[in-house]
Amino acid sequence: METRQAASEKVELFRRFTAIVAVVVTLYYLYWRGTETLNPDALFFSWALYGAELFGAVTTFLFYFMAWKPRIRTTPPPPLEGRSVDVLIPTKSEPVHVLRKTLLACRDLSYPHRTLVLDDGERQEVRRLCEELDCVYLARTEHAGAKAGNLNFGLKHSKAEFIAVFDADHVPLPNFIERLIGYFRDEKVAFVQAPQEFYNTDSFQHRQDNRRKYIWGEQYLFFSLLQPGKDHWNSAYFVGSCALLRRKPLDEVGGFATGTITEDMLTSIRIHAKGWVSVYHKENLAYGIAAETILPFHIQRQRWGVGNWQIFFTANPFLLRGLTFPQRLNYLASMIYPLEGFQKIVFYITPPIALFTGVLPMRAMDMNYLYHFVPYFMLTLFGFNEMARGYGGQIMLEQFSMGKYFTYIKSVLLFLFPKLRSEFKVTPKGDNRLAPYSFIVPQLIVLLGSFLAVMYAVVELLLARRHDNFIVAVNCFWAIYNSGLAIAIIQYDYKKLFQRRTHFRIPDAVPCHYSIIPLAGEDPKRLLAVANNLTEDGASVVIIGQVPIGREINVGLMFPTKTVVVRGEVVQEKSIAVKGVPVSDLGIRFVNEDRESRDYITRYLHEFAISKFMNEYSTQYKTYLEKRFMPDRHFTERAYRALTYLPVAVRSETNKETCGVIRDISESGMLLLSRIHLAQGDNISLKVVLGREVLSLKGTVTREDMSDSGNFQEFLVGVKLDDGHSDVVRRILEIADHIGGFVQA
Amino acid sequence: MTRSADRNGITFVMVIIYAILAMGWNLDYGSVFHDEALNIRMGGEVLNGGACPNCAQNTGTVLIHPVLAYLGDAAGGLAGARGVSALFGVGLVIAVYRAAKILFCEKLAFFAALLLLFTGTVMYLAKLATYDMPASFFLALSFLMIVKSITETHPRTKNLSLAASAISLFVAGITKYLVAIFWIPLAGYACWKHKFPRWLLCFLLPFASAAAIYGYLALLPALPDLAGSATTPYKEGYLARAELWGRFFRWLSVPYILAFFSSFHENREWRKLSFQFFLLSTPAVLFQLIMGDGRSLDKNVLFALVFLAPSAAVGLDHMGELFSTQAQSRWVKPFCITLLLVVLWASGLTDLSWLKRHFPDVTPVVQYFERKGFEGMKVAIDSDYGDPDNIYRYSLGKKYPGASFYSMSYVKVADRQALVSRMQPDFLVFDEYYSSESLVAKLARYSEQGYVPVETIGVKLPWGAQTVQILHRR
Repeated sequence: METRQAASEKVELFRRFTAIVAVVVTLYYLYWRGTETLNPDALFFSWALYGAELFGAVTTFLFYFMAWKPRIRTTPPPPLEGRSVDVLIPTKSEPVHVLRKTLLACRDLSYPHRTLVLDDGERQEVRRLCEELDCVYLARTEHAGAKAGNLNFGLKHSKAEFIAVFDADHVPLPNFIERLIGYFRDEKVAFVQAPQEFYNTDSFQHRQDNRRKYIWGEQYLFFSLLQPGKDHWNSAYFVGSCALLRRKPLDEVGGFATGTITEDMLTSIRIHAKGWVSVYHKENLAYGIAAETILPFHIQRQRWGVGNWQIFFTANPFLLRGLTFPQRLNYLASMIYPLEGFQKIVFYITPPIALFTGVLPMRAMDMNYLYHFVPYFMLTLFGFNEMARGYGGQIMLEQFSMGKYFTYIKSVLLFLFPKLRSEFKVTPKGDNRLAPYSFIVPQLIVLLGSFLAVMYAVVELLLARRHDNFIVAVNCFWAIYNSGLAIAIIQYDYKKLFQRRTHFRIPDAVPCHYSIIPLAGEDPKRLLAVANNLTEDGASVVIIGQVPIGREINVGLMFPTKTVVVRGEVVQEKSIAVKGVPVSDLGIRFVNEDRESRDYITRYLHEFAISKFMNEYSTQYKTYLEKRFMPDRHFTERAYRALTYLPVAVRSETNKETCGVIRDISESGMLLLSRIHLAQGDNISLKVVLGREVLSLKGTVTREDMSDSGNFQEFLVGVKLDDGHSDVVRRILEIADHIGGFVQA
Repeated sequence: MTRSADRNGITFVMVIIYAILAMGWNLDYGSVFHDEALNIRMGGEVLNGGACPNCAQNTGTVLIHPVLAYLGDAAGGLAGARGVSALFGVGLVIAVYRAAKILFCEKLAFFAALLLLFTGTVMYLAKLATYDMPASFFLALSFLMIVKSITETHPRTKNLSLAASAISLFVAGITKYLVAIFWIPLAGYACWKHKFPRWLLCFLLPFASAAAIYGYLALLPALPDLAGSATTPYKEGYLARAELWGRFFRWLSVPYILAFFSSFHENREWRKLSFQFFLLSTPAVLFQLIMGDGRSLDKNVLFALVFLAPSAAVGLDHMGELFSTQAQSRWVKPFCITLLLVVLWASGLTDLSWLKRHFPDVTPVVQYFERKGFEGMKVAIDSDYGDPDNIYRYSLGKKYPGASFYSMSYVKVADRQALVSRMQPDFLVFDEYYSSESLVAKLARYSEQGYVPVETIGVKLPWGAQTVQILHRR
């Protein structure tokens, strides 16, 4: 039987073959377009569309080149011992609470190091924060060179052999340095870059599908495929954060490159030109905050666009000595993408122009056109999808292209007319919810233009002024498609504008106890519950019972190493009655939370819960070839399992006691989240409290999986329930079924 | 009744109401088309015991539609005769709707029905008293019955549905012979979906029985006429492949594009079904392409549409999904689908208006004869195609029962002058739309025989105005 490895190799072979065929067909199509289809009566229009198609072909070929053979490194060499490492954190205007999380995590980094905070904002509260968290505070008096200048200022105060760089919002995991420093055993390695992963999956650039447990991120294609692809050609580049750099090559190139607003790429180019090697380690070792709305998203993309053009004209990879040819191509691909804005606008305005004027950008749109266009188009889509290896998401990429097209055009204009440009703009993180409507004007124009063009064509057809039905239909199809893209992005942004939640809550299941702070004459009672969404500021708590909005409660969150008791106010409540049992999902805002508790929650969330949550979701989908040649592993069919959020008290036969959460339950067994280790074969007794009702069960531990981040541990325990509890299990199942659906809704 | 069932019922009623209104509206447009006149005439001759000289040649000896058209004409004139086709058209929409509903869902059935109703060819043929619409209805009914036989659980209903499908398929084929090209594909499809013994007993046996009865009673006596009819018009109808492609492209490119999109639908089962229907639609296209036959191509695409509509409905649903680009709001997809449907509707109306004009509306010519004609007059029509005499016979027969009309279509151009000398018609009608000879040449020829032009009439066709000239004997 064919092994999975062999199947995977076969798929890779097919992929590359597809890419080659796609390139050949594209070249033929472009030749045919250029020689036979340009409309002499509308030459400018014709050339504009042809140019857009040419650009698309060039970027597609470069994409195939970059994605030819991704080098996936997830198991690093053993760490180097006893080396000096300084962690540099440049900051300017990021909120202190955002920076605090990063510094707490830096303090917990397990490899010996020093943390240097480089504050270009010269803020006293940051100075105090550094004193509190034992970090070195450095602030320049002059702010030349923006972020690069700030980093170079940090370098002047560092004598360490290795430098780790994090943006102020990027919270590293404790093993960050340990996982990366081993690569420096190779003396030629200049820097090791890790992915820039973001945990706020409700951001502008993410789409989360809870049903399929899938997250699409606008940058996943880059970090999961293109960087490993570039790594194959020794072209993976430093992205300004989540990287570990050797000091020597930095000194050789004069530190972090200034003179551009994308210092990271230029620094990489210079280092590569000196013959150094870069490494891309594809393991999430830090989590940051992604651009939450359209405003920071555009500021960031505009900055990248301008920066890339600056590099293109000041340190063009084709003119710089020392780079290999593949490196030149890789850097070229990373620089020219802002031209996509012009390409897209041509695609967006072509259908309306054709519909309004009847002028076509090609001589004829007939059967002959379909013969040529369909194979080219289908092969390009298929080839891209396969070479993207499940990180493509063509439709979502198109949606974001619609969202960014004007920003890219603007970036080119800003580069050409620098006077229009302000100084380095930091991407707003953490507290930026309101985006001006002006950002969606370009998409509104596309939407309105396309819609009106379709309506105009319909009227023309009805008045029998046009008889070229096929041409009208095809242009209408494209116009409607563009409208759909525009609506999707506008509507998403609109939704984000009015999102009430200000901080991303991390999905988790933490057992807790709660007690309502009694009013006069009330009897305080402590009951078990489950906190299923957490931030430092609040949580969502599923309880059996009801608590009205406005009441205060004490919540004891039973984290792996300790129980943190916080007082909270009920700010939101939704409830249902399931088989006579009242179930509520309470939105709690923490009040008077002490610093120690808050820091503990921060550390738990960022060092443990976020990784756990992100690992539950896939960021990759199966491509056609993978589905065809790499079928899923066969699982034995399991009994129906109800997802649930029920707290449970567990006692083992060795009299160990803990509180856990039932994750799912079937008639014969359950999956339990436990804070303590339960050995396989252990007999355990369980108590599920449903209001006044207490249901007892017994079972045997059949398996145990441990999640471990160094400082926090959790156990996922499989339990086989003893016979003779069928009535109790059925009762729990009935209720659990409803609770799962209720909470997830 | 549940809310869902209620809503579904409303959708179905809406489709029927729209179909009746759209197909039944403006049925008496233009003048009669020569095939319509011929059919009505044949139906009358059959019922009145007339000679019906062209019955076998023109209908394949099945007279279901001519008889119904004649009855429709007797009841409501030309609109009544066309109303019969409109009723079959409504039946076609219902059959496709039901089949799509059984196989897919209510929504896709609705789309399939709308796609048919928004197609110019379907609407045109539903307003034309020819046998195309009845034949397509029987074909669709056969398809529906096969679908029903596949999904029915009760053995008796299953068997009956299969038998009904076989009979309906046979009737479709003998209503219009071209539809017989669907016999083997549909029979094969039924065989594939059922166990062989059931297919043999419930499909092939009824089909063969019907064929035997028909062959003995109708086909055998008319065989000599039929043999001639199969070859002569074929030679006339030969077209170059490129032109055939162009015409198929015109009528079927959009439905096929929609059907193509169905192959990417996320529902695997629907994808598979859609592909099967895609294949079932192809015989109508392939037959004419392979034979190089351009006869009635604009009408024959209707038979492909019977199967393409459900397939295109799946494609339309996927296009809506694609065009809404995974937008989170629920209204984006309906918005995109509505826009697509509006475009298809407008495009269908344009096609309809083109098709309605692509046979000349000779009402002004008829009106001339109503004014200037006389009882017992002899009118000869110098044309190269069809039987235009039927048009005038139908339109003026009631006013001038003793008038006679002759078409010179089947006489060589060189022999026409002699024919005119022999017959001495009172009027000669020339046209530009069917004739390969110029009006000037014709005029020169007949003026020698004492004919003078008395009226020149402009007739609008989609590709421009054309002229009809009437000559009167001095």
